[in-house]
Amino acid sequence: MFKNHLKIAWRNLLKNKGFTFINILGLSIGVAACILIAIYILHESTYDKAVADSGQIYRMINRDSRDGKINDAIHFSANTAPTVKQDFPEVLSAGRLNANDLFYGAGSNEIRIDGEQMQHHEEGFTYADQAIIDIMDIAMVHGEATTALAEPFTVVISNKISKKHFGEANPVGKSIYLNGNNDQPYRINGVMEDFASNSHMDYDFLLTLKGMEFGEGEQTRWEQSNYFTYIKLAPGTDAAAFQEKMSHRLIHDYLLPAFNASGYVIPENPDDFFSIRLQPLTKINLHSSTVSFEASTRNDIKVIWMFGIVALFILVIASINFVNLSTAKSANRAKEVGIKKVVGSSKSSLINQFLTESVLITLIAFGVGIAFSFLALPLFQEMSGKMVSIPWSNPLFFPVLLLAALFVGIFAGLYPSFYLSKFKPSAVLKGKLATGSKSSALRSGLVIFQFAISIILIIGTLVVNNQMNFILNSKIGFEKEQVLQLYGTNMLGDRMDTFKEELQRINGVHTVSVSDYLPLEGTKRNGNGFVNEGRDNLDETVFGQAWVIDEDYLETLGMTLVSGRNFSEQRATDTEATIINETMVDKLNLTQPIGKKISRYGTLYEIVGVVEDFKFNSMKQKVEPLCFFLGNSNTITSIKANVADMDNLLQSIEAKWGQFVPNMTMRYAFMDDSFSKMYSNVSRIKTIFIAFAILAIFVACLGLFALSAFMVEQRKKEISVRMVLGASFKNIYKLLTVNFLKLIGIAVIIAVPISWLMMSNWLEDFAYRISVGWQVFALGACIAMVIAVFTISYQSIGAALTQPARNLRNE
Amino acid sequence: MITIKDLKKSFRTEEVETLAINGVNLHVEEGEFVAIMGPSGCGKSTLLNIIGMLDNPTEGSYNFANHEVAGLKESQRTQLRKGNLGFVFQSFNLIDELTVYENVELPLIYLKMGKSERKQKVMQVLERMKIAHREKHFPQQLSGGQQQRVAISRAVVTNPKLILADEPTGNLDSKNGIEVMNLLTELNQEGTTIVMVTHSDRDSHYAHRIINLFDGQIVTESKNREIGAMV
Repeated sequence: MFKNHLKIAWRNLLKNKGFTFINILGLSIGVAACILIAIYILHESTYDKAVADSGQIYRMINRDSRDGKINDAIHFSANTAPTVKQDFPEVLSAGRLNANDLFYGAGSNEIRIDGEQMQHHEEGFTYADQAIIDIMDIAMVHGEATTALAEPFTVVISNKISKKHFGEANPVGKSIYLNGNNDQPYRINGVMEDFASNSHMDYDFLLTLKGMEFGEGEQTRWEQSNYFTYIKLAPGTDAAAFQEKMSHRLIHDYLLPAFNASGYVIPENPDDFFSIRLQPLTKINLHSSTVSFEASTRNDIKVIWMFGIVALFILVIASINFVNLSTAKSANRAKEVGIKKVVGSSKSSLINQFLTESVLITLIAFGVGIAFSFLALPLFQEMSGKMVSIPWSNPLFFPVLLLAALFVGIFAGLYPSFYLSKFKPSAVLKGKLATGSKSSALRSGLVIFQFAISIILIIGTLVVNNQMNFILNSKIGFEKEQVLQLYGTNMLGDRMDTFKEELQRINGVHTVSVSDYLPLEGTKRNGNGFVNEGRDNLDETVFGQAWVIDEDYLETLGMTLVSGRNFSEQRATDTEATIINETMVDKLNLTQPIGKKISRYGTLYEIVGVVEDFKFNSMKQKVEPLCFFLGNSNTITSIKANVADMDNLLQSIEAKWGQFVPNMTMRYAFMDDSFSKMYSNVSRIKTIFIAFAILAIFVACLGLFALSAFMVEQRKKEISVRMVLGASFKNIYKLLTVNFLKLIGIAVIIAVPISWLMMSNWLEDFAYRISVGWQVFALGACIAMVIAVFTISYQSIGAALTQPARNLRNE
Repeated sequence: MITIKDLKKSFRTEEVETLAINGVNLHVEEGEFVAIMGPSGCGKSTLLNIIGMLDNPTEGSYNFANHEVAGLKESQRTQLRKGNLGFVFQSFNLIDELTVYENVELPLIYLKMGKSERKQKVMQVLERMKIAHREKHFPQQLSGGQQQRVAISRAVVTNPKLILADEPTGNLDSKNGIEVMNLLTELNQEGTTIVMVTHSDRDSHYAHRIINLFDGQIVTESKNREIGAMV
């Protein structure tokens, strides 16, 4: 019996090639989308799960919930980890990382291997405690995991770096030098396995924190927060209860007394605003949207949900095509149902037959879909920025897909099976097949649903696109064009000034500025407290940035002074001067800022200028208060130049670089490129969104195309009769098109409020955002309408152009 | 074999109720060949559908081989139909996706008969109907007469007690029509009961008895003296 079902199913697929093609193509696109998104979600949601005892490991978070907005910081003072370990028996281990490139050695460095001349640029440096290796369960290729960072000036490198510089040899015991400092070797004491692609840590060099002190007293000061702090709790510890206990103890026993002693003014009822939280290790990747100054970009659970829903949408749209086409085509199958019933088939046997057919289609579609996903994988990796792979070798992969195919097949085939198997043989064998108003109402509903989803995706894409353009083109308060940045210029040491002068002499160069603090993510940042002169211990401290720049900075970056003057290196007193931004003026409540003095940890600075606010964090955050100070911060050199003749300019600069630093290749980037990279995450979401929106619409249109073909087929005789009676081309075209357009119209009405809610929610994350106007919805609706009209017109025009006599003769 | 009493069948649309069968009483003996005649819309096919258990009567009783059929559920009717009844239609109603062989085999599959037995029975009946050489063809590749022979093969392959034929020659030329009628007569002579709806006077003369239906009621009943008079 089953063989018979299979046979009829197979021959039916071959007989109705168009129907089969559309069903399989649509479903396989949906399957491919689902596979790709599923492996992406799997990758993102399994971050750090492979770490042993990951359930007992937490990252500490410093939560500030003033102004009703949660702001989580992950930096703690150096003594937090040892204190927590000492005070709480629940804590098995506590370790610190310092990856802030504010500190010499962290971030990126030029390295030289002992015995060699060449400098190599390397990134991914962090300072780390031995405890981090223990907590994160870091496996060693060479060296001893338990003591790898136990001695001062030791370093653990990744296997990747070891291979790059030492080949297959074991480098343990060899030394490296950083940034041309030949007095201080770092001994390689271990080679660790590379961090997995789904680990939230991604470092290639762990420099030991043993014996390190970044400034006098830094290791014991509670007010100076530079360390990511991780703890591992004893098994069975109630993390929630422990969190409250630890938070209260740390704040009241250590932090508040220390802050009070330093003259900070803390708001009343600090418990209402400040707390220390424990973030589970496995939630760092997807649940860190409130955390600022992360070491690397994290994903967002919202994005994961969004992608998951979109993939499901495409699959549902494709399944709906199957339901619609099967019921629309029911007339062709009615006779078969009738005969089978007459010769003795039961209803359940027919249901089985139709389910066999739909499962057969989905199985084929899953096969094709797997092939599609394999072909599209490189593209998807590029779009998502993640090296995800299809888990062929996972024993669950094929069984899960097979189950999914069965589920989709049965889900999509269920309604058509019951619908078709209900036909009465006495009616259908006489050719009296009710066209079924019930089934056409269902089809209409499903078409509305498909298009509502498509329109939501179109509108979503438009909004994401507009927001991106808004960010990239909005007034940012500085000029990012025609600025070239050289990295690693700290290698020049005291020859910096000469180098700068030489650069300025190059034809086409306007100005040159040296500063590591730039309005780009990934450049230096800090946190300092400021109060007006004489208000220490009286006014609430204003926390903001303190950036060290030179006198050419404002001009090079095209920033605008709204009052006062620029720094001048000729004025000796300017080392005690500051230029502040408008937000700082606001926060300090200054009406006439020029000439006033502000205190930074007790040292007074005179305000000589006010700079227009410029955006230096992601657009998701408001501009912070900021002060400029004149000084030396020499890792990055910015060159404002006329880039019309870029090749010549770069050649000239490289020639100069070669004269000054012969053992190191010049690294540079254009500021506008770096700026765009800040939004690479948003732009990735945009690309993926656009891709999947196009797929969804394509699949929906496949269905619409086939459906309109069937409608035309069904009404062939009616159309001919109408034409014989005098209907014009226009009449016929309208007859066949208007009904579909009504459905799309209803879909628009449903889609608009839903997409408005969804996109408003997404935009809330941005401090600077567009308002979603009616134009976006109108445009989205128009796009859907136009695509739908084109799809239907192919059939309608064909029908309206046929010779009526042909169809009538057929009768 | 068939006893029908006060049978009524009405169809209801939104506005009107049409009485297609209005109080029919009919008795068919085993081995009889009965022709039902009448103008279009008189209820012939409705009556045949009820006899064939494809439809339920609205009122009255229908007894088939000592089973009361009126009021049975569809699944029960399917069970009763299996193997007992064979159908022949004007428009043949073969499944286009199946070959001649597979079409004829289908009722045997539903009877859950073994493969070799099926093959034997199908080939036997195809040979008898002189269509065995076409067993691998699809219905569209056959002439009308050949298609009807396949349809009759399918109807008789289970050795049913009753064959219901709905204008079996309606789509055939006279030569093929006569051939089909001869086949039905042969089957009848071997003991199969046949109830046939027809418009054709010629065909009706193959039957033992002719029932004339008008507006859902039996108006006349006549017996043919000479069976196969027209042959």
